[in-house]
Amino acid sequence: MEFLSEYLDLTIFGILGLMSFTVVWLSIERWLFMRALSLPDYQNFDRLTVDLTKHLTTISSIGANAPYVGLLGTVAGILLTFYQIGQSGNVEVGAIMSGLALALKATALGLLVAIPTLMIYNALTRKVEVTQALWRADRDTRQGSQAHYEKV
Amino acid sequence: MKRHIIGITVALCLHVSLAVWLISGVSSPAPAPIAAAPVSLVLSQMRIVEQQIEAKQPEAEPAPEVEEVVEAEQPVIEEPEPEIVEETPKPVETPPEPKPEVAKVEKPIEPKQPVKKKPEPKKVVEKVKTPQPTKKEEVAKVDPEPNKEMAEKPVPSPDPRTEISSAPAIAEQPQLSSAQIVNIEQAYINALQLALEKNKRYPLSAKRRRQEGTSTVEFTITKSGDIAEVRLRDSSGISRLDEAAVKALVTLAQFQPIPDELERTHWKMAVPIRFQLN
Repeated sequence: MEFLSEYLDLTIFGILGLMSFTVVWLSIERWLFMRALSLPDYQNFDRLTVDLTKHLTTISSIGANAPYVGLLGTVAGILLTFYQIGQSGNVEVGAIMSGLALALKATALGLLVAIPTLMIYNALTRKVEVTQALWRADRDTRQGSQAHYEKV
Repeated sequence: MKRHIIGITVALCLHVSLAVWLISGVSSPAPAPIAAAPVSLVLSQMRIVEQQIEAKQPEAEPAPEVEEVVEAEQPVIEEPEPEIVEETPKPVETPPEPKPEVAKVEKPIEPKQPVKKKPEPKKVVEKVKTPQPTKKEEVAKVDPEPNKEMAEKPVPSPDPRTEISSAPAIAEQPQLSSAQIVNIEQAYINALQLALEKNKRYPLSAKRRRQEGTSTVEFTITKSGDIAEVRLRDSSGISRLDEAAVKALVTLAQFQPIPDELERTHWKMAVPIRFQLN
């Protein structure tokens, strides 16, 4: 309990900070990759898909799990508050409220990380789909023009 | 690979700046409003504490005490001398009226001082003495021209007084240079207190555990306003709060220079820093 009360905030905020750090890093990496991508380099559709969707799983996992990490912090904080009140014996409204308020911080931060992450993930997914569609379209036009050339 | 490096750098910059902003910006204003109210209370404590220290010093470290006394005395001695030279012609004309008053006022004070100053090292006596300066100040306020009268009448008396009295040079200052200096001192201490309140941070772990307490920190302000020799004097019983109190002063590091009117080359103080939750 001592250890928990001492390092709870630090742990939860540390994990959430690491998550948001990873998201920012990977989304910048993806954005730069998408911008520099040249479709004619890819002969194979599946290779293109593999390169396009790299790191997207990580982003999606973080977006899905950040609220849970925050929630875990809140639950642990509430648990600690109640435990300490139980130990001290006297019930102070002020103590309970400030304990709960501090605990809710973790959920807020979790949501703060999750919302932009999911938005970024959706944007990247859309970009992947568009790129794939463009590649297919390019291939079709190439084949079409070849077919046309052969006919003539 | 280059993309990863760019991404890591940007994310790192973003998060570090955010963390720094949160730690410095959000957590420090929070305790400030809590402690804004008890400033006056703390102020009165602070002055007493300050004199206690000076009384304590002769017991612990006799050597620095001599230095301090010399430095504190100099202005005291210097002040009356020019006044005597300059103002002797004036008082010769004016004295008849205020003389009886002065005699009444000063005689009770002077005999008291040597009697009380003999048992210097005792703290209790020092505490008893602390109300005295305020009485003197009141007296000084009542008399229109205390300085002139002092300089004119008991010409021999101020010198022996300063020689006899070593530690309470501070207690004498308000007497010699009137209530204005006390005001300046108060304003300075007030400003320092406010700066400390702004600078102190309630440790999060202590907040969570609802730990409260008052730790007294001792330090020296130099003429230029540098804060040095910070150390803990009285513990609050909770090491986190003690550390935070010392840290508040260490991070403050530089305060406004001591006003010239106070004529101090350095000022040793002890400030109680209170950590209190609502």
